[in-house]
Amino acid sequence: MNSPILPVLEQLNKVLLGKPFQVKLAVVCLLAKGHLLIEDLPGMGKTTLGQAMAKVFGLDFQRIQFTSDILPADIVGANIFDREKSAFEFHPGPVFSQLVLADEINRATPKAQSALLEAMEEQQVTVEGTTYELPNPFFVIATQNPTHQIGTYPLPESQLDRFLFKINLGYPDPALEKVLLKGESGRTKMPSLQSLLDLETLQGLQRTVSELTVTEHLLQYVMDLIQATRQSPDFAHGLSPRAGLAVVSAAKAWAFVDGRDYVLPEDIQQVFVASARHRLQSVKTSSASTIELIEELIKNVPVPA
Amino acid sequence: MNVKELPISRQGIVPLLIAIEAMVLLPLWFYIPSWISALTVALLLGKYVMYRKGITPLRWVLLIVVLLCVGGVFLQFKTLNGRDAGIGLIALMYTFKLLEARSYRDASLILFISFFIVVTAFFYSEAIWMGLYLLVAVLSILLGLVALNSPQGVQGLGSVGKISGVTLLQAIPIMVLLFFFFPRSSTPLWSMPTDTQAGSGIDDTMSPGSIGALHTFDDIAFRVDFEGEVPPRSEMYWRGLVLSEFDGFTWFKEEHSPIRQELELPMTSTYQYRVQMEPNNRNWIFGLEDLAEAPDGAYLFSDFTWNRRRQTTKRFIYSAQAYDIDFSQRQLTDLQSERYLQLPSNSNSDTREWAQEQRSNHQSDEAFTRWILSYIHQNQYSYTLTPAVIEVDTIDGFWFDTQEGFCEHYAGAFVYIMRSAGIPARVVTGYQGAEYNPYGDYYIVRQSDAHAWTEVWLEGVGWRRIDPTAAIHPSRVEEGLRSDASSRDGWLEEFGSDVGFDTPNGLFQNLALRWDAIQNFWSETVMGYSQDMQFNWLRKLGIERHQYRYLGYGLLATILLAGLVFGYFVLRGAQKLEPVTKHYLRLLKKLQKHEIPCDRTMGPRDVLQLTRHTSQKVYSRAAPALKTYIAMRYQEQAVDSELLKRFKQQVAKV
Repeated sequence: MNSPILPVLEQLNKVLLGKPFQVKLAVVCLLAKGHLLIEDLPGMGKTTLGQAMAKVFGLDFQRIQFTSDILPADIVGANIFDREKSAFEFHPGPVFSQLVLADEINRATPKAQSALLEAMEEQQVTVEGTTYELPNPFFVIATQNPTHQIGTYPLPESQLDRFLFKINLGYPDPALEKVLLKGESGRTKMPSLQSLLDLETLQGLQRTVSELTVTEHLLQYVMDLIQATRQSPDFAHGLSPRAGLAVVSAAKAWAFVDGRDYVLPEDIQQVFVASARHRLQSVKTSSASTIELIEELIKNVPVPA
Repeated sequence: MNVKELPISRQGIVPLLIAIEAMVLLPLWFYIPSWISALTVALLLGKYVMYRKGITPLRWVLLIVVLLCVGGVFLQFKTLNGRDAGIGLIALMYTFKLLEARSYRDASLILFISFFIVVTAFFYSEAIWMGLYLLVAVLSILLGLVALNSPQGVQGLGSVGKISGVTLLQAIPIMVLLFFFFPRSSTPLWSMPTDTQAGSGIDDTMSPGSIGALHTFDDIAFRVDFEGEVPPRSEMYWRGLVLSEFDGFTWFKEEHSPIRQELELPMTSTYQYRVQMEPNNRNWIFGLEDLAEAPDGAYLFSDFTWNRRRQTTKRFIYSAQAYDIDFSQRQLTDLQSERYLQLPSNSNSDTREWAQEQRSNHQSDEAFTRWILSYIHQNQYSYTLTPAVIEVDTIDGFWFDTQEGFCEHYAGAFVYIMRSAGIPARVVTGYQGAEYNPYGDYYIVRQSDAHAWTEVWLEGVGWRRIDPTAAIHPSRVEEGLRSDASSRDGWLEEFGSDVGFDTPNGLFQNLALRWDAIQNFWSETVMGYSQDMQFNWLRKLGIERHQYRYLGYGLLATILLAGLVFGYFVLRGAQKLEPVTKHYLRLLKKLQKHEIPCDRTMGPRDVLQLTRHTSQKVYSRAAPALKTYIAMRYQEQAVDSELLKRFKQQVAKV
């Protein structure tokens, strides 16, 4: 592997211990120009991951803490009267940043949620008739508490669709947790992180990723998988064409991170759960989680030979 | 999506099944007991109501009703065996099955059973309309199969109809092949029970009005195909029975016995013909006069009629030859003379006395016979279907008073007069004339052609056919009978009739003849395609009788093989595998044999890594093939024949 991403992963894994798969997915998500949704309990390292990524990729970083009383203006910014110039002046909100960490997004009201999600979708913000372009790259890492917790407003499906991946971080390994408790990683290491890429390199990488080779055969595999979700009795409805596009671009990024210039069915398999799980709804809520059902489905769909 | 898991209550499937069952049962409703028909209709309607309301019948209720129905059928027929009881039972069970149908399996079972039940209609009728109707019914069953196997159900009859129609058309070559080549058994697979209702025709007695009654029947008695020369219509006397016993009112068939030995009469053969006779449920069959050698399956009797051992209950086809028999050397025995002169002494005395008196005025029997015919010609004797009814002494009444009648009146009176004058005579019944069908080049003899004529024994001549109705003056022949009468054997030249054939005229007659030609083709060539016909046909192709069974085996083997090949391609997804795919699948199989736990849901790189972790030895051999495969499938490497060859070799090395 001679990917320029390799040192990036190395650095990030030093901060977020024992989560190489999740770290890789996060990086893949950025390279595929998608947004990341992390669902986990507080204190699992969501913020750490976001800050570390910003630092390593050399992106400017803003964090928005969503609360139940946050307003759209608190996110996108507002026109404020400047007494000296006796004119209104636009004060950009925290969303005007290359990497935005939207913390506990499901604590906010739907109105505030959709302000962010619209910005994510359109790469721009409109305040009182004036449109402001968001920076490029624009990468949102949103975190949410498990939806059964008190005081949450679950995101509607249409908005969940805007996230490329949804991942969990989960508890660390006992051994690694001990290292963490000793204070030898996590935020304590943060200052030691170096910015490894500049903006242009990152944009270049994103372009390279989007141009990777995808063969008919691979697309057939994606089609088969999507078709399987549509026909499966386990899900309320199947994956949308947009979900299919997401899977393909994510697989490209995964292949790139793996140091290949072509995409393999394995890449699809690696990113499929993360890109499908928030877009599918299990009919049987009790017996098996959506993740297990999707994994089962992958095991049942043959790769086109 | 697997249609087998879909409920059959989706879009239109159940109504379609109901319609199909109705179509399959429709011909049977005319034949099975009415309570069974009514019950099946009720069950079909019931199913529709249940379908609309979403009710499913209780199993135990259904079971009780089914048992009651079985009991009912048993009570009706006193058996559950045989055609009528069996079909009644089948019809009921068929509808009950639909009533309880809820799954794909039930529905497809119903449809496949339909293919068998639809054929039971042939137990009752083999007519062409039945064949055509059953074709439509089969099409509807196919329609049901297509609809059942499409996830959307019935989306308009057009789309499913197209598929099933094309399927049916595709089956035509197979059907034709099987029809011509599939070995026929010499006996039918099942015997059709005697149908006592069918078959009207000439009876073995004759009394005034009995033949006239037949004149209203347009039913076909038989069809005739002449080989070579065709006799004029006035010569077409189709002899059936000889009636020589008279009781004063009715003529009875004479006691006759089969002629076992060779006929020692000088005779010359005249016409060669083939008869296709409709069932008449009688022993006698008809032949063109004079009759001699009996066709296969029949015997010549002493009165020169043909009889079969068994009654003709289904269409009987025979070939025969007409002869001119010279009786001049023969003498009547005393017994015969007595028989042909026998008359009841207590009736019709006026005619008898008149005949005896007139005979004494003539020199010979022949002269007297001629004189009687001219007497009929010159006096007010008329030919009508609706003569006045005479209560007693029918011949006296006819001859002297009413002077009107149909052929049986004339034949009866003529024989009576002859016998009274001491000339042996007898009545012959059968058919006279025929209608030519130019579309099929054959002749049709109908029940309305039924006729009675006479034979008179003239010394030195022998039996001479005399048709007294031919002597009636044309002006006294009832309109509508004229064409019949005009074409009869006049014998006496002065009554010379215009001999000729009725050529079809008028649209209706035209159509009727065409339709008859089609029906004839259907019954003779399609339904009547027997083992013999098949043998003849195959011989023309160079297949002899003893090679016949190999043909059967060969055909069976071909069908089996075709089925296997077809099934193989269906199972392979009906698509030809790409060579790359084929080799890759073989590679996977080989790896599995080397106990690498790979399967088709794994990507090739995972397979590669798995192999490396499992067995270094296998890995070193399998890696090139897997890498080539990845290159071909996922790296846009152009697949040319050389690369393919290399890949094949790499796979072979594993």
